Amino acid sequence: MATDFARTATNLLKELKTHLEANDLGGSLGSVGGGSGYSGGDGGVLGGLLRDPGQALPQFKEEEVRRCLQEVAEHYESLVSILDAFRDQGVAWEGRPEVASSVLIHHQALLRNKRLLMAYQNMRLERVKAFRWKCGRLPRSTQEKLSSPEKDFVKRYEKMLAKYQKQAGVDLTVGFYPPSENMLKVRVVEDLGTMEFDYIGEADLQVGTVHLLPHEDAERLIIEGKLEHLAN
Amino acid sequence: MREGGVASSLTNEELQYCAENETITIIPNFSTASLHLVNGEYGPFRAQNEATVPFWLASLLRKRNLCRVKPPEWMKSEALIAVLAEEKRSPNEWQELPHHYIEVAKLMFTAAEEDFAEFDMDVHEIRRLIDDIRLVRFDKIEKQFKQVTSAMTIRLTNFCAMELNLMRNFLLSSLDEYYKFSTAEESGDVQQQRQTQEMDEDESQDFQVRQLR
Amino acid sequence: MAKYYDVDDILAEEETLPTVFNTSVYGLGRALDPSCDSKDLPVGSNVNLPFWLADFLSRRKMLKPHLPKFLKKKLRDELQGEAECVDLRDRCKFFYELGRKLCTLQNLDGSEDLSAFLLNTFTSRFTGMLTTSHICSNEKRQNYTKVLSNEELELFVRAQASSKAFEKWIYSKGLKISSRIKRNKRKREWEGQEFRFRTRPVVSA
Repeated sequence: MATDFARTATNLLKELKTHLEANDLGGSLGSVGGGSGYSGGDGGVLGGLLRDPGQALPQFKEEEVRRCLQEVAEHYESLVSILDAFRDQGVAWEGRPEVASSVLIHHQALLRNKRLLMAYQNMRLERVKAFRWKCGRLPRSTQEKLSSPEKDFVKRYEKMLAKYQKQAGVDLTVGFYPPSENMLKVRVVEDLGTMEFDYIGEADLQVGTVHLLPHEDAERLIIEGKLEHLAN
Repeated sequence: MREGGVASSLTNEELQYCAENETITIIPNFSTASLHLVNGEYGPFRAQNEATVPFWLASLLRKRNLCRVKPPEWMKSEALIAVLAEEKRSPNEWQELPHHYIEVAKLMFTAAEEDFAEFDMDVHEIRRLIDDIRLVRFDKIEKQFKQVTSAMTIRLTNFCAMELNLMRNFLLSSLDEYYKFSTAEESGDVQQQRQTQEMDEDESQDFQVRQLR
Repeated sequence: MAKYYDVDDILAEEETLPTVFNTSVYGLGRALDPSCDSKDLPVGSNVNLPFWLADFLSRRKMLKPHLPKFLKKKLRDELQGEAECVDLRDRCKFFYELGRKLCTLQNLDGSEDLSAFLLNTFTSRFTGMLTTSHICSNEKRQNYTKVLSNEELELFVRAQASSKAFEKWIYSKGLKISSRIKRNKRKREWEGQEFRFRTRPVVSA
């Protein structure tokens, strides 16, 4: 039997990893050569490709995170109380192996929990960012799964991106595909109503209808899954 | 899967885009003055006279039936048969081919498949020959791979853009993995040395405890 | 600390190994060894510890680490003979990563030839991975991937992804943009096409 140190945090991380692998976003955009097909990627050999955007991220586990933090607090308290107790006895803990080992173990367990939690949070934020670049804005169903600091992160990330794009004068989230045609032939998958485009003016985008739309606008809507690109 | 851990590369589609800058000969069926475009001047074009243009322009014109595309010299079946024979003969080298030969071949087959016949070339035979060459070349890289036993260099002279792209990810990850083995070994040795030194220095001390605060 | 956030690295360190304590541990009897009935952990206790803790304490000579079962001499010899088909995943998902970490531990019995053993195992299996015939069926591939360690699996997945991307490109008529969010109802264009073409994968099982 092994110890239970940092068990909660480890499971937290493992679960997240499993979920993200089962809902892969496909090869990374524009890099990891050859690996990322343009037709949505194939997903991992083992993992599956994201089908439901609502599954892009699992629920933030408030309860488990709280338990981990509590474990950290407990280790800290034990640590302090051991140090206090032996200081009162006038013993230097460094000289007593049985005390030193105990102090070090508590400290390591504390740090381990910290690392696991940091990795958990980091992995979630990486996914949030990747989703923004590969699939567009997070759908509402996924937004609800974020913790409030994460929501804040998303808000600021969007703001930063928008501000930069405005300054630079380009939309950085499209144009990942080498241009072949000025206009793309698309079929509408999700009702979008009437939209205004360059070159062609207004278009009534009703489900099932087919249109020729300017490359950039069409690309964004295709990536978001609202249009389907029809090959010539 | 970790991302960006391995040097990123172009996607196949991007590589094709690069290959579209290769020049090719066309026979236009229209006449016009030179085209002044951002990246150069092409033409003037005179009907039934050969002109050299980048592939992207050629395929644009071909789509509108404004020209025929002349397959490049290296695509002639005699040339390909010779290359294939050479490839089969020397197991450790690759023949020199245009850097974008796979992409250009694909572009030719998609944009101007019917034009081969006009230049007395059998498109099916050429297609087969290029496929064969690709496979033979590929077999060789596989054989080279089997000799890899450490993080070392592999000679890939005359390897072409698309072939590199196809292998890059796997090759670099493998070498990465081998590199980790070699560093693990080294760090083990260093650790051993350092610890023995430390042991010598304070043998009297039973434990080396780092100050916590 | 590039590896601080590396999830695989973290999880590899979670794998346990048997250790024997050189010292007693104040107040952590039950916490370290659930079968311990005293408050303090006595000297000489046998405890299974995750690598991250064993590593730290071993460097301070507070315990003596031992090789995990799957790396014991006997099993190692067994592996040497049939390295290619042994199920590493079953033994330890992070077979190499953990192995390499163990190499950095000193006072670990039987670790002298560990790094050479790991390298040999990897090399022979690597060659096996490359022994290509033709594209294998999904089923065969799935069975094959079941015996790979995490590190091997990653290589395999990368190679397969490259092969697939290449085939997809070379047989496509034109660039087709599509959403990364696949819709359930749409049929995967890819499925069932694997036998039709004369191409070779980078790696196949």
